[in-house]
Amino acid sequence: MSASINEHKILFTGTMGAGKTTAISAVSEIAPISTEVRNFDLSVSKALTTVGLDYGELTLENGEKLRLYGTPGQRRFEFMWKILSRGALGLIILIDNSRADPLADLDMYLDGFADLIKRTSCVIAVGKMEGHPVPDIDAFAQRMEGKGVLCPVFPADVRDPEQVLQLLDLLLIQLES
Amino acid sequence: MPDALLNTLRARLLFCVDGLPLRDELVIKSLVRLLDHRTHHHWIYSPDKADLKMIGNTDGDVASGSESATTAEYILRVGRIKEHDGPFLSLPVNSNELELVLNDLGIRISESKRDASAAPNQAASSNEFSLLRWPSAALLTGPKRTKLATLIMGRFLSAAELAQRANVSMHECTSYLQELQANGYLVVNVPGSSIAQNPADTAQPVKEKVATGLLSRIRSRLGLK
Repeated sequence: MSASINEHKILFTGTMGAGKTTAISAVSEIAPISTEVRNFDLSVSKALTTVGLDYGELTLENGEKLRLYGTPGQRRFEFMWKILSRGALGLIILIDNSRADPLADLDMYLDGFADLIKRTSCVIAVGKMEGHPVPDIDAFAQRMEGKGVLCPVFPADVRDPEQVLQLLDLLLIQLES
Repeated sequence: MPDALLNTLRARLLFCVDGLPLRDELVIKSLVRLLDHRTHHHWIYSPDKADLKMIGNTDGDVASGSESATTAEYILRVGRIKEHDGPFLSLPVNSNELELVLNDLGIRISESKRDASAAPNQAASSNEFSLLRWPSAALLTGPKRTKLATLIMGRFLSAAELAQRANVSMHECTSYLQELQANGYLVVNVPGSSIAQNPADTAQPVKEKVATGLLSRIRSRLGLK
């Protein structure tokens, strides 16, 4: 069930630098609205980071809006994950494989969005695998299986709009009966 | 133990419930789960596709949204008074009676399905496939294969249906299915028989229904076929 009759939403989540803003920019018809501030986390080489959320949108042919939300990535914003999950059509998880423990990142999102994943659809895109091939896709798949989650997981570079479209395509396939 | 029973032991059978008050429906579903270690067949609740349909003939509040589009061949009527011929389960439900009736109907259903599936060369082409777990990266070379795998995630499709929906050739589709099956990633459902070749339970969480029109509009807006 969607949030309202005329509004629908898809969520993008992932750690800082995983590409949520980039992915939304790739398909949004408006310039994404981001609540970004200066990053003081020296472990991440990024000047600005999302502390609230990103927002983009698409207008469907009948005037309905498809809203694209990029959630804050840090666990301390878990309360916002629950709020944003309400009425969402599905979730795209962006994993940054250059981080210290990408499998732990996956666990965090699978747990934090467990209800949404159970009732809708989910796609997992693993980025930066060229320079950081470990853990490999099979390790992610095994981790998902251990949590009873079955959804597509594969390498993706969200800087390429075609690959963002592929993520959305796979999300929609799961919703289609 | 009779041969017929041995042959059908722990076959996976599906049932649905229609037209019963919500309370009775919940009691029946719970009892079926509780009796699972005793019944001769593994009964799984499936509102959309079932071998056995339990139909209530009671008065009172009927569970909303309980209409089922199933085409189950076997009907079990449930009520306080037997009003029709055929299998009947009396209310309030007695677990022993439920066990007996499930065992009896389970044998009949399994035998009838085995007879139907004996028709040569018919089932093979219409076998349905579902993904058991996400394939190894070695089997996911390219977006087409990722799409094929996603299409049979949480649902059964025949090779022809899959090829059509993925917009790939039948040859490409069947070779991929063979690879998946050889590596143990598939559950195969033989039409006319609810007994999957792989004994694993394929039940996935029930997903919320999304209006087809909405999904089409999103696809159209994104330029996705």
